[in-house]
Amino acid sequence: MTIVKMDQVTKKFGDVTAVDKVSLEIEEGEIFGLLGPNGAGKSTAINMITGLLSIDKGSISIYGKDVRKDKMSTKSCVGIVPQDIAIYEDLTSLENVKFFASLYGLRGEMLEEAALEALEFTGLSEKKNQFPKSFSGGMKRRLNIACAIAHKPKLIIMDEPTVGIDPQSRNHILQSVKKLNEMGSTIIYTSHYMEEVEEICTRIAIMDRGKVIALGTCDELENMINDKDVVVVTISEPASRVDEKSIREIPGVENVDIGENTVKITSAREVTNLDRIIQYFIQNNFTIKSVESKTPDLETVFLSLTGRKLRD
Amino acid sequence: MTILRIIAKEIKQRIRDYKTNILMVLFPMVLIVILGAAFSSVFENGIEIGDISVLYTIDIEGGDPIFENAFGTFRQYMSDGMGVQFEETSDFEKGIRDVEGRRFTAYLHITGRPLRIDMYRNENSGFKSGIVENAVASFLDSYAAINVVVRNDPADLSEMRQPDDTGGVRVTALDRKRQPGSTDYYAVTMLTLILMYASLTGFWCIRSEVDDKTGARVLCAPVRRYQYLTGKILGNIFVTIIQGFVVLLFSRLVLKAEWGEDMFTVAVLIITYSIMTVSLGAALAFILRSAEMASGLLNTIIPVFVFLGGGYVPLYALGDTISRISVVSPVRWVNSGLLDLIYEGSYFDAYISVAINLGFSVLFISVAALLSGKRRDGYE
Repeated sequence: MTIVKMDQVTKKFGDVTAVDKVSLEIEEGEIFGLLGPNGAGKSTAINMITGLLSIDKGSISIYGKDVRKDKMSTKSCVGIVPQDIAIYEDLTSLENVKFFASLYGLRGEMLEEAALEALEFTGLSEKKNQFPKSFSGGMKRRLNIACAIAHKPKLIIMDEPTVGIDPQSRNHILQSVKKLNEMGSTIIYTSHYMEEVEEICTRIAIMDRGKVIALGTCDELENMINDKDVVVVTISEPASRVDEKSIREIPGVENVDIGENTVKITSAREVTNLDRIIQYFIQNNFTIKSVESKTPDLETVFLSLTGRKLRD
Repeated sequence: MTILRIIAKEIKQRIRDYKTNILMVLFPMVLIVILGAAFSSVFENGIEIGDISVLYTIDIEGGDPIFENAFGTFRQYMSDGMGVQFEETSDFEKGIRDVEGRRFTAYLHITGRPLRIDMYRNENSGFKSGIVENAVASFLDSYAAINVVVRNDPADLSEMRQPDDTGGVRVTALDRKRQPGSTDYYAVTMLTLILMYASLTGFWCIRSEVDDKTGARVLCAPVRRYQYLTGKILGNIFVTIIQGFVVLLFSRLVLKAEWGEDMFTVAVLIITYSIMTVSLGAALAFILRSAEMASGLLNTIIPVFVFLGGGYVPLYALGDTISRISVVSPVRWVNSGLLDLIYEGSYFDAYISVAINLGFSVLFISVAALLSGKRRDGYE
């Protein structure tokens, strides 16, 4: 069953087209990933689904209902985890969750139970009477999620819910997303962290400059560039000393991604150039610690499709 | 029900905002005490008109029955209406000595043809002798008219205004038997001052939700914009009114400030005024995109409005020009509405103030509602 249908949706801010004729269908039970760099149009698309932003052209329906015509009805079955932490610092955790859940019609004991359940789910039960101002960034993110799920929405939209938090909190959130999905919620998950999307999403749309440039499962997307080989060279010296231009001049090299001590090189599969690559590092007095051949990931897919890195 | 939820949340948040509560409640209480004590002598609270005594000498050769009749009526009025004591003396030197010796507030030396009244007063009796001076000037104005009519057509005298209602503004002003003391005065003006500052809380109640992105989150729920706006504004108005009443009760019960008999109308004035100030802030939150600009504007206009409203110094002490300009200040209308109601039992300014408060409230809320629909990006 199609939960969300976007049909030729366009949104402009002045002369800038933030979302450009995007068409998507998100099925029930999916964890649907929207992957793209900052400014790709992910949040704009999300805000149109939630009814927060008007749609310039095209249409969006949730459970078959047009978000413009049945605004209140479509909103009531959605839970939104905004990109920015949107909680009240002067209300306790429990009060925050209860307030937002109450806006969806929950009352009395049902409201109390639902709020406690959401806090339990996000691991904040013990902090229910504490004010968020004393929380770490990760705990605030979890409370941000608790406020979105207490009313048990069928569709949960998570807009970059792991921005700026420690790995432990990130893992907790990713596990929570999987659990929510197992409990029956359909999830739309936006991120510019491809590892997260790869880990949890059943289907992924890659967005860039307001357009969906690729759509499919993780494997399908990676197979889009099965004509590529990826080699990761780890060196002892800072990789910033590596001359990217020189590597690009090696036949077959299409992209070079320089990390702290690693250089990730994408090459056309039909060209054998590993010896030339290693030669470059030896001739330039770099100490090679390891050379790994990797299958292309979403980062490589994005790089291949746009010529830019996801975090550019 | 959604509106009630938002109102309850607003009230909870405002109650927990200790800094603002101190500003809105404790600050005016302290100011009333300090200003009430500091300016008690300026207000001369407790001066009775009866404390004024006037010595006079009528030195008109051959007498002037018309003048003497009019002056007798004037004395009667001043004595009955204001408690001013008159005493006649034929000795000019004694008159001067008695005024110098502060046994009398003023000495009037009346000579005739043409009629002339010389008034002598002690330098230290400024306020009281000012009253006498104003009253005598008013008397002379009307006597001149009476004199002309009587000498030409005495039958028309009944059409003339008598001395007791001639004096125009200044004598009429002196007709107040009850005057506010400094604590009474500042209880009113500090309350209206601090309620004017509630416009800042009205502003921040909207602005903080934009900055913290919580407003957008609320609007992602099945909540209509009008519900959201209404809940927020009503919640803040409610808390502001409660804060105002706490200050009022403190001044009335602890400081024994005078609030008159008609507490219902006083309450109506305070409630409508609170609605207006909070709405002003809410409207500005939508009109001006920059928080600094909006709060700067409010922090600039509020002291000006309060000054023009006689919040710091009574308007009559600021001169006619300021008094005329003061009509632009809503604080002036609520202050005069309250003071006239309390001390004169007059409802005229109170009604004007209620009308101004409600009129501007409707305007500000309409602007906020209109712009909240247009400025959707304010919640992004």
